[in-house]
Amino acid sequence: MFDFNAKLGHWPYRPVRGLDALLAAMDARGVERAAVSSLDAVHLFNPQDGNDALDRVIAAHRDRFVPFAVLRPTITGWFDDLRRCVDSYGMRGLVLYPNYHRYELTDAALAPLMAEAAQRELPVCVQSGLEDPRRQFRPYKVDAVPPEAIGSFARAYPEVTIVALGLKIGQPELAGDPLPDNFYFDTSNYETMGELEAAVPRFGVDRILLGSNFPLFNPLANVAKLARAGIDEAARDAIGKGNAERILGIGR
Amino acid sequence: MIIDCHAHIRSADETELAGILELADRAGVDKLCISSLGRQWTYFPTAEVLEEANSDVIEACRRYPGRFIGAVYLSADHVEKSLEELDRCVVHGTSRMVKLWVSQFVDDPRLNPLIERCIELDIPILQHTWTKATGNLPKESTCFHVAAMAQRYPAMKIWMAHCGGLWEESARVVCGNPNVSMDVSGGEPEDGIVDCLLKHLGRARIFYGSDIPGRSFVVQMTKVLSASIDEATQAMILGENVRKWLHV
Repeated sequence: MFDFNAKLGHWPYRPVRGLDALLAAMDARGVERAAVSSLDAVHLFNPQDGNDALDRVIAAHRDRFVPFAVLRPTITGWFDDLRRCVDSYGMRGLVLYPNYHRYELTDAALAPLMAEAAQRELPVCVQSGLEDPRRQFRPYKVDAVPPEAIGSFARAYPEVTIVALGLKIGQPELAGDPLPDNFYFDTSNYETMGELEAAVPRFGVDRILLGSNFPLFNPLANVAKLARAGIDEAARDAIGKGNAERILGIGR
Repeated sequence: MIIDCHAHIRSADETELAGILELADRAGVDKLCISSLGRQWTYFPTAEVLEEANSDVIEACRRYPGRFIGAVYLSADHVEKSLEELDRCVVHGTSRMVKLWVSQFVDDPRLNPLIERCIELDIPILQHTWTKATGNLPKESTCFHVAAMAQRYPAMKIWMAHCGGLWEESARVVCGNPNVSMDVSGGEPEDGIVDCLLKHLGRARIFYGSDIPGRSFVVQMTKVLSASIDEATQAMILGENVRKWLHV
């Protein structure tokens, strides 16, 4: 399996587990590889400090991880950050936090970043909700990025693969009807009774990706969700691995 | 045996019940504690809504006696009716627990006669509980309300749903009340919930629950399955603890 949404780093509001726990969980549950990004970069003044640290943390395990860069397009020097992450660190995707980093997906500052993503064939992940809003730290509450905004973003940049992370039940359909061809979403926070049984016929199997949201979520939740879903094996394989590998060009 | 201590039905419709049990089977859930909050959820149910909800639960339990354990939905806004429902559903029926939601704080003195009757009948109470950064509903109980009622009636047995939402604090608030347990139902599958609860409550006061249909049997169960616990502790949390409380 391939986990498209793992993170490593600290979280300000509660202790979270790290690299060893992630690797152990992957080994125990048959997750061969994970796309991983810096959780520290959500809160650091300079997200690149998080990207730099991530490169060091996973250095001995590059066979298990596909690193993604967290970029803030409104910070001076983001292009140098992108170049270092992709050219030096071999990062193969980008992660955006418009809510935590305080910009809109319609911001003109995104245009050059998205042009670079298109040229380099980098998927761009947009984190919608990262935390349960009811459990946020009261002095520091951050709204989720609306699915409608992520859908519009995907339509504005049709040449870039857009992956919405953390959408809840009832939200993917808000990204547009029909959904943009380049729009994908992960399973991490998509939950109800029989969620994947309903999602596969509704959205098609090709745009759903296994995602754990580790370390904020336990690493078993989404693996078990996929394993116990009443869907056929071809769909399970696509969600669990095939779609991620296709997006990342693995095996191409 | 795995018992989901916190599940909801919206009606006694056979398609709905069969669908719930199909997914329960796939998740390995043997029994479900079910309550109804009415066919259309309202925060302040009428007496008629309480009766209809409880009748739906009784009918579901009649059809699947080996799978469903019924809860009686009560409200402090209708004390006489609630006492009648306790007699109808528990004394003369098969229900084994009480469900309280958001029509009153759980330490509301109007609930006293209902609590005293539950103690007489030796049935536990499942209380919806949250502390929300986004703001609670007008009569939505927090862990502090639960602790206050548990101290007023040390003989009552009450379990705090959703581990109070803010589980890091809720576990500390009620840890000194041995008549309070917590269920892990609802909310996102955050890492470390059960490990945190164990530090404060010990392993006998934590229950597995899902809060279906809004949540998933499987995802909510991983809160327990992903914890750093031995098999005996896992079995207690997944069913043995609540089975003892319910005498089933």
